[in-house]
Amino acid sequence: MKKSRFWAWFWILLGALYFLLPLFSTFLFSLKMKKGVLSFAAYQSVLKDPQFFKTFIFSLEMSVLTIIVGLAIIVPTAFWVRLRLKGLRPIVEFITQMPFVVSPIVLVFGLIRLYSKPPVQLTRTPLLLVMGYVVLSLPYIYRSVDNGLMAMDVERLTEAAESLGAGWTTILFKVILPNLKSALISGTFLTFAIVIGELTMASMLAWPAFGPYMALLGQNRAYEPAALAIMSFALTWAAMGVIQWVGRTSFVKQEQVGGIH
Amino acid sequence: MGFVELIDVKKYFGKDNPVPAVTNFNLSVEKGEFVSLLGPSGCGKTTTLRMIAGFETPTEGKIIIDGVDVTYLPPNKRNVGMVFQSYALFPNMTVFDNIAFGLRVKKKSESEIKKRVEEMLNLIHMTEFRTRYPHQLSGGQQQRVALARALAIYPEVLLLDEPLSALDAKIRVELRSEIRAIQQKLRITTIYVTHDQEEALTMSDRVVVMNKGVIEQVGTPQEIYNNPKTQFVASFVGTLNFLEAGVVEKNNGILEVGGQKFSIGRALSEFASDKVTIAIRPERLRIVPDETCNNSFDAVVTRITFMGAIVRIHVKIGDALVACDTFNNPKLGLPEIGDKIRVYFSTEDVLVLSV
Repeated sequence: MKKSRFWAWFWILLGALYFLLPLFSTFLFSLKMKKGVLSFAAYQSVLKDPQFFKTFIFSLEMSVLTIIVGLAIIVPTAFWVRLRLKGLRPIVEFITQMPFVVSPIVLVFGLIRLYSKPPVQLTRTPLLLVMGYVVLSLPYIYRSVDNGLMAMDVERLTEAAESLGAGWTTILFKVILPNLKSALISGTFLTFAIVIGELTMASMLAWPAFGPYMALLGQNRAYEPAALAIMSFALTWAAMGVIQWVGRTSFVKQEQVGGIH
Repeated sequence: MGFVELIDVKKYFGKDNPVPAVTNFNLSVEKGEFVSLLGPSGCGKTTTLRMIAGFETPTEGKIIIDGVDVTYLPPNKRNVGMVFQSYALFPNMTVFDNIAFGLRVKKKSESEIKKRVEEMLNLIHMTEFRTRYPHQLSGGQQQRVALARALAIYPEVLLLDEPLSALDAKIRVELRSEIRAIQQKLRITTIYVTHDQEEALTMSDRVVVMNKGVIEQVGTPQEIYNNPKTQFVASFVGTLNFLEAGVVEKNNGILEVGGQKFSIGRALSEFASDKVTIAIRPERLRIVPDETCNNSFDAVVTRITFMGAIVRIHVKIGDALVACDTFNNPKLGLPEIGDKIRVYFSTEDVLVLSV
């Protein structure tokens, strides 16, 4: 028993070191901008740069638009596939997995080739970037929404609502979406985390996004990129923390009342 | 014409190789009647119920509720209340909101909704649970809320799809009498799907026994239990001993099993063969004679099974194995394995089923 516990801790620590050591080194390096002292000078330098906020706000706007468009496409699709079009499930799963197979560089060249000339010219609008981001975020949004639907017995709930006289809009907005809350938040933050640091599409389509800004900074400065990497990590972790918190609050709610029967 | 009519209803699943789920289903349910669809898994009972609810469309035939053909009407236009095996309560809503859901969809006033929900909470004895969420309730409580939710919208027909199957035995027995009491109080036409014969027999005005998509028999619980029309009904409802019997005197109804003759008290003119299958329920076979028993067999005890209130004594009559039930009375001495005993029965207890 003791032996197995030792090895469990050994592997946990090894995994943690593998992950945390580079992070710690980056953090330490980001504090060494001033000679001989540890300071947050690199962080101050980043935050003073107007390009930081400009690119960050742009990427934030793009991520919000991506989340809205992505959810608007995926939620009804996943709902219908689970409820009525079960035969289409393998096809939809295949399509949503495509971004793992087709790299962003291939995708962005395809988009440029298709939408850079009439009849549909979109390369001058951020719409094309959003479309590309929606494709990139498909696996994450679809998986989250589908898992959420699987967990709630969507078929029976829909039938129960139907038998009580509800139409499709009522079913979707009053029954399905409120019960998908944590799945939607999970999909939302995963999409946010992907879009906020995305480099290939934004730079190929020449938009002033946060990803290209980070890459540019990495080429010209020494300590600021490390500070930016840590800030980016913190942001992603905060997003993950919110997902965990939302999941945990609903779980805690159930746990608390377990004894009231 | 009944309140709910199913006329020549057929349902096939699949396009290339259609598989029949329900065939030639004809049923008329009177207003206020409690009818159970009873049968084994895959017999088509749930499909039939789902066709009445509107979740499935019949391949052929008609479904009429209160004189209106609803065959192709969507479920949300039928005014039919449905209770599911898995409760299907909306997890994001409290007990109050769950029950109020259908009324809100129908755009009733808030005062009317409040009044009706309170009425329903009283009906299911759960007034103090109105602010709880489904995950804060036990299975039995959840199912009562599901029942109240289905009843709140004043449905014309109440449909219940194995509502007690997910509950433990004690709650199941409590809830089935509660459902029946509520049904009788509201006099609501109810169609109940179950594979549990005890549920069907104790709750229903009439039972529809189904097998392989067709109706085997429709009748009152007493008719179904005492006079099964087919071998399937006889074997599915209750426990039965089946015995191959030779016909000795067709006109006088004399048969023999294992060389022992007995009378069934009527002629066997409808049976052409000199062999028939007879069935006797274990509780009709007695190990102590009474004045109603005019037949008996010599038998050897092979096994004794203690079942609580009942003791099942397995005996051998010739080559046939037969079970007979007796009440567990410690004052009565039970036979031992290997004992030779006499098993008594009356002519009315014998069902002659087929060749």
